[in-house]
Amino acid sequence: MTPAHVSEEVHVELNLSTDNALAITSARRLAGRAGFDEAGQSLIATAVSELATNIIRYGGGGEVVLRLIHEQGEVGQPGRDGVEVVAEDHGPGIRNIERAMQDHFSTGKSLGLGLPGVKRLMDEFFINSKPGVGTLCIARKWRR
Amino acid sequence: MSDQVFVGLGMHVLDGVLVAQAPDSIEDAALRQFQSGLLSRVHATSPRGVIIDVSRVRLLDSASYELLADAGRMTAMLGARVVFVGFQPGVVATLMDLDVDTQALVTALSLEDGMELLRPRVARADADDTDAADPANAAEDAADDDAAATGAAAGRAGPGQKAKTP
Repeated sequence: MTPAHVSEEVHVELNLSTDNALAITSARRLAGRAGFDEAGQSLIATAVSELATNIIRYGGGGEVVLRLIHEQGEVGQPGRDGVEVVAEDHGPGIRNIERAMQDHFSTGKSLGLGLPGVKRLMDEFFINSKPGVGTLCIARKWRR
Repeated sequence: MSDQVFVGLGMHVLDGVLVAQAPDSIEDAALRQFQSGLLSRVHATSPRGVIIDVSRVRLLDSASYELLADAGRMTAMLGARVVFVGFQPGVVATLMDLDVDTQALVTALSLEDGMELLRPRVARADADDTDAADPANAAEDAADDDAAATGAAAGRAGPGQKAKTP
């Protein structure tokens, strides 16, 4: 993921299930300041909710950092604004990332981590996880 | 505080149909309380149908969607027909990207349409109604009833159907 200029940053600690609401509200607000419309704000907030829920339920708590990012355009091209979400925990980690990134729908009720959904919702998605160490997810959505 | 106090919160009966407002919070506790309250009320009052109004729900992720879908499944298991109304466009658009079964729910655009789907079905001479609890059949059966009603209104009854009294 190429580095982007950050103009705003919000940290939300995620320990209790009630912290998810704060993550969602913060995400909506930041997305609004990045210029996303109502639908875009909801989309980003939903992706944040998926990631935050994983951290709270399975990650033993952690943190999500929300950033208002900017990318300069090529010469003569306009730049763009977006939102970056960094979700991190120091929990048990994911043993099989490849399987976690596959849809579980075919097996019936969605029992997965919702990660394929986050990847589809956002424009850029990165995940790194090590069993016994923790999990890191970074996702970005750009406003066109 | 006892859950008994809040069993009827956000619910009212309209023409024999229980209309229940899903909470705007997607927190686990709030949705589970909604589930248990709804089941209690359905069990106690045996409405001919249930409408779950999700118009106050601004955001659904995969976990909260499953809890809502479960509310529908459980209510259907009690034997009541269930229709969801009021899904917000932004919520629906986002749900398409999530890993959820969007076919799990019977939906209607408005409360009015929902009530229409839950209209008492015309008795049929050849029909077997033991699958009444399956929400997937509710829309199908209602659509059949609409066809029969239209036929009856035009002066004909469909095969095996009683003509509806105008």
